[in-house]
Amino acid sequence: MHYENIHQLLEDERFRKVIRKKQRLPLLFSLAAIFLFFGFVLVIAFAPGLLAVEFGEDGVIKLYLILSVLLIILICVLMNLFVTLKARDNHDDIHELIGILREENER
Amino acid sequence: MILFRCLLLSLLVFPSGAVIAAGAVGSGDMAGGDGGMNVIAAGIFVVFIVATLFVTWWAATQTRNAKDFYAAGGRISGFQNGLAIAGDFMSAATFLGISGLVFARGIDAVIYSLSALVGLCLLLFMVVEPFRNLGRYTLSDIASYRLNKRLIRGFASITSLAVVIMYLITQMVGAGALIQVLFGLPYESAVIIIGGLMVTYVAVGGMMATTWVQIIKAVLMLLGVTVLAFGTLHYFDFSVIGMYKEAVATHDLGERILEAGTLLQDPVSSVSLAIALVFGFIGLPHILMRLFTVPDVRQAYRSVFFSSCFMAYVFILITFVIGVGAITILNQHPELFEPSGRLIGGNNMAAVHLSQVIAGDVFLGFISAIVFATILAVVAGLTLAGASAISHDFYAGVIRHGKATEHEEVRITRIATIALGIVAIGLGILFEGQNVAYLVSMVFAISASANFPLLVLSVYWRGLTSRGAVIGGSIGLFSAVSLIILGPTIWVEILGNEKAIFPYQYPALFTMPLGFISIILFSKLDRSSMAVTDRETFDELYLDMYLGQSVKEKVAG
Repeated sequence: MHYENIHQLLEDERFRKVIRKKQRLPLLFSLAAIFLFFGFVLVIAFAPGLLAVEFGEDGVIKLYLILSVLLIILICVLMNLFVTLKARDNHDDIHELIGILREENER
Repeated sequence: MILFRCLLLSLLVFPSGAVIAAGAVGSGDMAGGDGGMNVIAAGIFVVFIVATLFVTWWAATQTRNAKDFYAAGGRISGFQNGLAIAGDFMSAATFLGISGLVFARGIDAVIYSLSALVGLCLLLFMVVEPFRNLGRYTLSDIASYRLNKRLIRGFASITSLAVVIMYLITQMVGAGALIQVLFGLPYESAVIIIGGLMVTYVAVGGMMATTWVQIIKAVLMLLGVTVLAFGTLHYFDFSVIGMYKEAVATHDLGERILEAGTLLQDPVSSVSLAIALVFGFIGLPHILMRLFTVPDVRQAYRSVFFSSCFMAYVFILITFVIGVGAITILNQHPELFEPSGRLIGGNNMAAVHLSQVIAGDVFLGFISAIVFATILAVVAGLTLAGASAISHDFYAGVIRHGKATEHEEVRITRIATIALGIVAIGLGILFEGQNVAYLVSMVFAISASANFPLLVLSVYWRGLTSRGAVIGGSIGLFSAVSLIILGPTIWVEILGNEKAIFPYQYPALFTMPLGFISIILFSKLDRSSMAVTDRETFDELYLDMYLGQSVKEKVAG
């Protein structure tokens, strides 16, 4: 590809919009995972007492246990959701845009 | 306390045997019962070796060019690769280390399980697509895509090699000691056997063999953990509440085993450890290579997702069933403890002892063989990553200016594999019986402070320049190494000084931001002509990263 073409494409507002849309999903999911995990780590580090709350009569099922298991499962659900959403995204927007750009170029 | 700290440090490594090294050396033989070799374990292990060597031979017939060698020709399916990735993450220390730590300190060890999973999760979100679209095998491939090739490849091959060799030492030392305990073999022969097998898998079969060894092991591991967890639950008549009640009643810490804060006392260490684990994982060279063994992005996504399911399953069973169950069950067998009250072979042997109590010698043999297989599979992956750093980055990129033929490169990889094998065996014997846990912290600290910032900035930041990457990356690297040397583990426990100059065991909380900041700073200050080209080439990388090669051709056409 010629160099001018790349810059031309990169500066095209429509292209930027498509890329921004593509970036949104990974960014959102990464932030969610970082927020969940490091939130949990900060609680373990600075307020371990919060996790000692008991559930039920037996006194052995505590919030720490429940949250740990939930978090493990939640991370897997997040990953599954991400893969599913990604599978739907078939480069359609970009293909469409490239079609438009080529037509413009031919004119 | 010191021993406990070593144990903790060594746990940083998921495939670690360093864990075992700390505890097992000199504890004698527990596996055979009668003081000899455990015949069943040896038998199962021989079957495993024969099977994997057969796979290696088959893989060799399938391997024709460089892509076959480094990436199994991209012919592994998403499901299979998922097993292989899970195999890389679930290794001897995940299995032995986490269950041993739960046995010793309660469920606080869950941070190790969670970090591994979150590392994989961020890998999926941030790294898989750009890497796949760019079609590169290693970190230095990505960075040198837009930066000065010789400079970056030189630097990246040094960090990768440092990480791989340090990691290999911990594996060798741990594995040697473990095999000494499990099979009654002398330490030196154990190390030589592992080194020899590892070289054979990699040099003969390349990535195809390495991946299949990892897959076979992951299936064995899933099976072993399932049976062990089932047996443990059966012991308590399938009452989870009952199991937890008895564990609380048995353990010295009582209810505290179910609470946070039994592992690390100070908050800074907890956060720093979590950072090192999560971001260190992403920068490890042998994990990144796994993204290229599948045919396309979709399969890469599928493989990461499958591996997360396998890992979540195994982590939940190891942490919340096997580890907790071991507290009650093992304490009912005083013959498993030394007179001092220490578990024979150290806490890391908890899962192995548990297998014998629950299902006798045959199952003990099965579990021991899985542990050995695990170590082998991980060292094979590491060796391949190290050998490709030598041949692909250093030889082809730096010495031959990218003019080496594929055939030549694969030949150098094979030679490098044999050299790495000899180095690993030599260092493994040299470090016998030493506490090598600090090497593990270094591996993760280097990976999080040098590799990870470089990785992220080269694909997401236009302003990165070659000079900034090398200077900033070096600062990340050296700060990580020196803060660990000045920290409590080396400065106080090994060098015998009174007080640590740097008070925390894990420096990543400080060195990772330092790595990022210095790379950014030195890139901004870079006014060279090379910097201009570096920034301009970013556009091409950016386009490839989001469009992939196929779409790019359409634009060009």
